[in-house]
This record gives sequence, C-alpha cells and structure tokens, in this order.
Amino acid sequence: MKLRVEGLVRRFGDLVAVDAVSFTVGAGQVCGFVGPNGAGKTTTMRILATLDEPDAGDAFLDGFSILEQPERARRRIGFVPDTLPAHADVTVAEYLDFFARAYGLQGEDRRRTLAGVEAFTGVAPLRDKHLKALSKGMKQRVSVARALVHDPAVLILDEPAAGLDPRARVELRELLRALAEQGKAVLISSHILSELAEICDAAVILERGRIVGAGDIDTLAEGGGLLREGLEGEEAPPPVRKVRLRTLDGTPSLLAAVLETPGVLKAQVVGKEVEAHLEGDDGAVAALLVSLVQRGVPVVELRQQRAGLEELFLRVTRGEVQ
Amino acid sequence: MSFWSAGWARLDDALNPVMVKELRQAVRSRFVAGLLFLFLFAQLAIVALVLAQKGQWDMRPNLGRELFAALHGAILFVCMIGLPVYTAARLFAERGSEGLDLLYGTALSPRAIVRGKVGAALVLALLLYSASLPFVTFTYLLRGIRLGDIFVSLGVGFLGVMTGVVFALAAAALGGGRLQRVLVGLVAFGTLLMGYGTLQILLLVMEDSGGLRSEREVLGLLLAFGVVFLGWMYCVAVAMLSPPSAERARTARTYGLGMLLLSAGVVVLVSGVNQTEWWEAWVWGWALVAGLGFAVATSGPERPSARVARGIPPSRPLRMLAFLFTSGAAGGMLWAGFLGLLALAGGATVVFLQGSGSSSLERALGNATAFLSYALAYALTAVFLRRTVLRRRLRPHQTWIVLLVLLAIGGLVIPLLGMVLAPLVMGGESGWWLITSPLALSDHAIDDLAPLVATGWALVMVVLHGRWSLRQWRAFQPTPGAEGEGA
Repeated sequence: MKLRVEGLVRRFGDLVAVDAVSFTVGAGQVCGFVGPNGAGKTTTMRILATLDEPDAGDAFLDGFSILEQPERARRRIGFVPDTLPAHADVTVAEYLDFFARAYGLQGEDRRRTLAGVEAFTGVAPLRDKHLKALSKGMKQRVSVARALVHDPAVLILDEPAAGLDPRARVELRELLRALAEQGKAVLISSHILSELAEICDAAVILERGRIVGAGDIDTLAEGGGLLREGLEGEEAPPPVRKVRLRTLDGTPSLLAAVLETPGVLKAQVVGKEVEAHLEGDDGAVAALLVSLVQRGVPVVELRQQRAGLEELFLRVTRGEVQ
Repeated sequence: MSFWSAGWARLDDALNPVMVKELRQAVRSRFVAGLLFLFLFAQLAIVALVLAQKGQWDMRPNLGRELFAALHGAILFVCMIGLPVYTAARLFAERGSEGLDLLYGTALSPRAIVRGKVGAALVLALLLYSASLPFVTFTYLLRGIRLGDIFVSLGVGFLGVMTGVVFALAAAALGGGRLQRVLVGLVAFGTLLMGYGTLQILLLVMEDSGGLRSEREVLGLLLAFGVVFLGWMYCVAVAMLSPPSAERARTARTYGLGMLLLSAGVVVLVSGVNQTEWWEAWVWGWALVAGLGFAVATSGPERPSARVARGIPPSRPLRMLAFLFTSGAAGGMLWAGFLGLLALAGGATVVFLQGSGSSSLERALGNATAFLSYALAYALTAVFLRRTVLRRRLRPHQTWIVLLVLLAIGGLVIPLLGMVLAPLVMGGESGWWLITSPLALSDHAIDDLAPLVATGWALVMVVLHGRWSLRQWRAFQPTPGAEGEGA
C-alpha cells in the first residue's frame, strides 16, 4: 500500500479531533475523504503531510513512517493544502523553481522536470505572473504543480475543488485521473461529493473524528464497509435499495402496486417511470419483481440504482460536528 | 557548454534554495528597495549636515571620526534593526498557516532553512555595507580616523548585524499563539534596540578613548560574546523550526557545554588565574545561562517522542549521558544544574589557586549560587503548579506561562508592593520584601538570609519533584528493536 494509516489520534485539549483513524490507499487508487465540517479531515491530512503530529498512531507513506522518518516520508508525498499559495514578490516560475531546488533537482534535470510539470498542469502560460495576481483556479493549478515537482508516490489534496469554476473542476478531475493512471495513490477531500463520486474508486467517511464508513465505492453503496454502529452504540442503518420500474401501460397502476408491496419505504413517479426505495438487499428487489408479476403488472424494465457518494454520505453521517 | 557556463551552473545548483528564494523576493520587494534608497538618502543627508554644521571643516582635527561615527550609526541602525526585522517578518509569515508550504512543504532540513535565511540576510547586509563604502571612504579622506579603526568598527558592527539577524530568526522561529508572537516580537525588538544602543555606545567610547586598537581586550570580549551568542541563537532557531517530535535540545545543550569549557580556556589564556574580574564575569555569565536553562527546561516534554526514542542508546551509562542532552524537562533541569555547577566549580578552583585575597570572587560565587537556587526554585515551582493546580488547563509545553507569571509576581509585584507598603507597616527599611527576588542579594539587610531562603525553597522543590524526575528517567527508554544512534 502506498498510504497506510494506523490508529491516528489527535487531541486538542479535551477535544478528540481524530479518533483512531485507520485506512489504506493503494497505488493508482483515488480515495475520497469525506465528512462534515469539523469531522477531522484537514487535521488528518495535515498529519499525513507531516505538518502536524499525532498523539497516537502512525502513518506510512510508501513504507516510511511520518513519525520516525518524517523527512523521508515528506519526499514521498505531494500535499495540496486548502490554503492556496499567495506569497508576496514571487512569480509562478520562481515558486516552482524553489521547490524543485528544495527537492534536490539540479541543472538540466530541474529545468526538464519543471517544464514537464508546467505543461502537465497547464501552468506554463502563467510562469511569469506573480502568485498574488492569480485567480483561485490558477493558484490551485500552481499548488498541484508544486506538489508534483518531486514526483511523489502519494498525493493528498485538501478541498482542491473549493471555489473552482465548472471548467476548472473538470480539468482538475482529468488531472487527478491522469495522476492515478501513473500509479500514484491519491487521497482527496471535498465537499462537492458529486465531483468525488466521478473520480474516486474508494472513500473514507469521517464523522466527529471517527471513521463511519470505508471501502470501495461499490461496496459502500451496497452497505458494506459502513461502521455507523461504531458511534456511541447507535444501530447501523438497514440496507436500502433504489430501483426504477417501467410498465407497458404507464405509471398509475404500477405506483399503486409498488406502494402495496411489503418493504417499500417510498415510491414516486419520475417521468414515465416509478422510483421506489426498498428496505433490504437484492432479495428485496427480487421479491418486489415477483410480487408485481404475480399481480399481473406488465413490467418491462427494472433497473437497480446504486447509491451515489452524496446519498451514501447523507445516509451514514448526521452532519454532527465536534 | 563553456567552462564559465558550466561553473556557473554548478554554483547555481550549489546555492541554498531558501537563499535563492529570499534574494529573489528581496529584489522584487518594495520594502527592500525603499530601505536601500532611504539608506543612501540618509547617508547623503548625514554627510551634508555634518559638513554644514562644522563650518571651517578643514580645520577640525576630528571631523573624519565624527562623520564616521554618524555614518556608522546609520549603517548599524538599518542593518541591525531593519534587516533583522525584515528577515524575521518573512519567517513569521511563513510560520503562519498560509506560508507553511514554503517552510514545511519541502524536504529541506531546519538547518538548511536557517542557513538560507541567514545567507540571504548576509548578502543584503553586504549590499547595504557596499552602498555605504563611498561615504565611509570619504571620512578617511577627512582627518581624525585611522583606516584600521574604520575596518575594526565595520567588522565589529557586521558581527553585530549578523548576531541581530540570527537572534531575530530565533525569536521568529519560536512560533506559538498570537499573544505569544506579539510578546516575543516586542521583547525581541526591544532587545535588538538595546543591542544596537550598547554596541554603538561601546564603539563610540572606544574610539574616543584613543582608538579601537588600544582596547584589544574589550574588543576580544565583545567579539567572543558575539560569536558565542550567534552560534547559540542559530542552534535555537534550528531547534524551534524542527518538529516537536524531533530531538531539539541536543545541539543547543552540547554547544552550551562546549562553549563553557572553551570560554574557561580563553579566560585562562587571557588572564591566568589572577585577574579576578574576568573570572567573576565568567561565573556570572554562565550562572545566567544556567538560570535560563532552568527556565527553558520547564516547558520540555515529559516523555520522549517515538522519533527521539529511536536515538536513545540501550546501554545504561550512555543512556544517562543522553538523558542530560536529550529533549525533556527533567533532563533539561539536570543539564542546567550541571552547567551551573561547572561554572561554580570553575570559580571555586580559581579561588583555591589564588589562595587568599580573592574575596570579591568568593562573594560572586556565593551570589551566583543563590541566584541559581532562585532560578531552580522558580522553575520547579512553575512545574509544580502546572502539574497540580493547572493540570487540566495547561500542557507541559505551556509551563513557561506559569513561570512568567511567577516571576512577575515574585520579582516585580511583591518587591514593588513591599517598597510602597513596608515603610508604612513596619516603619523601617528591612528589605524583607525583596526576599522572593534575587535582588535580595544586593540588599545589605537580608543578603545573608536570601541565600538560605533560596536554597531551602529550591531543596523543597527538588524533593517534591523526585518522583517526577524518576518517572521521566524510567520513560527514557529506547524503542524496542531500534538501534541507538548515540548520545
């Protein structure tokens, strides 16, 4: 695993900001790090970036402990913080050159690497501009370029899409995909869950400093990997399936039939289809279909819809902050 | 690639990245450009004013010296106040949340960061000094100052500038909350002003008393102090930029011990054992450092971090030595105590070798012992209060706040209240109200009592902290399986 987090704990006085957080991210994997404000995402990411230190636990970046070998771990990580670079009296080229020098790149190698990173992230046209004069999107690109200068194995991005316009978001998404294809492990936090859902293979859901769900997106969508019960003995929510149905003769009879079926939580007409929420797993979906056919409802299509990251997030978190 | 371009490329690669960045920022900075213009204008104005005021200036025998003193004052002011403030402000900004990428976003070591900052300040100082060269040369063309004195003054001043820069960096590296930063900033600025004033007065006095070359001993002392202080501040700046889990204390403590031994050797060489004043200054200097060591140790960690534990040697004798030099509250107290004892032992040896007739050094030894007892008593009382009354409010690294409050109460509030109220209540001037402060050592009414009170207080505190120290010693164990990296 490129990134291995083991039982991280961070306290601020009596407040436990990060409480025994453990997860892994593999090479080429893009992992979403989601949770309400104050859940402990930024604190965890700062610890992983060796900007802060845990009170307990450890994390390993490409095998190097952030506690015992922070200098070596730092060489394996590219961190894009939620604050964007806005230093006085520095141009983009000078800013990137500083990091290339600081990571020991020399001579022609430095110039070639910088040219490559600038081209890859699209900041080449901005090289002579002052950091302070850049827009938010441009600064974000520069920040990503800076994090890539030393070709890190692990990339950690804290709210990279915040404040970006739609085009910049699409470009950022494509950039992250390309990085994952290069074999980098990417951990990304964002509030824009629809964005994350499109690029993430896996997600870690955090609430009040504790993980309430973790795993690949499909497993999470099916209710696997959810740890809601871990919070103060609360019961885990039952699995819920969402299906879309279409019949030959339209929706009125279908809607009534669906609502009469046991286990259906709610149903509504959406265009020429009926959307239903069922309590249960795949067996509940099969039972619904059998019930409808037995009643003579002419079903021509049944599509099961996977829960999106947003829906998943709302299901397992309560929006509680510390 | 030509020989020159290849050489230039090699030089470019060898430059410290932080220095390159700092200089690039300085070149673009309006502040630096403004400072340079203001500096040149000030020098022009000084030359014009001095010449205009003197009238028949070609008849004045000391005009060159007077003009040099005024110009050097301006150079020192800009370089010893302006440059450190600028350098520290940059570091301050980079220690804030928005500048972290420059400071901690790379694999650069804290040592490389401090070296880069100091290097950039050195280049800027050289730039400012070279800008003043035409004016300084002009003072030599007038009468009243020797070329040697000009060079010595500029050299001593330059050392003062670099010491100021490194001191300001150390202060900026302390970090902390907003209140702490403001307090540290104010104290550091005041210290810079005091340093500038002291150096300027010393140089003027020495120039007026027949030239700098005749004051070799004082100059030597000044230079030695400057170099030692600069080195120590460098260690502090590096330590404070290191992560809290890193080994922060070892370099500074080793440097301190090394300098104590080196300075003892220098004093022996300069004065032998017969010049009591040198030894008094030596004992008091190191007693003050040890006292400061007690104060700093109050806020040390009470358990070694995982990273520090990796470096703890497994063998018991080496572990005991490492305990003294490794980050930790109890170890820091022991180190400061050891330093103080060495200073007292050095002074006592000189008294022994001198035989009779060294009463002033004996008195200095007695007072230094009492001062160290006060320092230890205050430091351990602060630790005691933080561990008991303030256990839930403050963490170990915040113990310095308790110490500051205690010092303010014991060293300022009680003596001031006593000064006002004692004559009214007791009708006399007994001086007892100074007993909580080392100032009591200077009051004839209680100067016999004060050492007893200080020693008793310190002993009680030491006894109360026996288990605290023992617990830290027991926790000072190497990580299982990790190889010790030596003391």
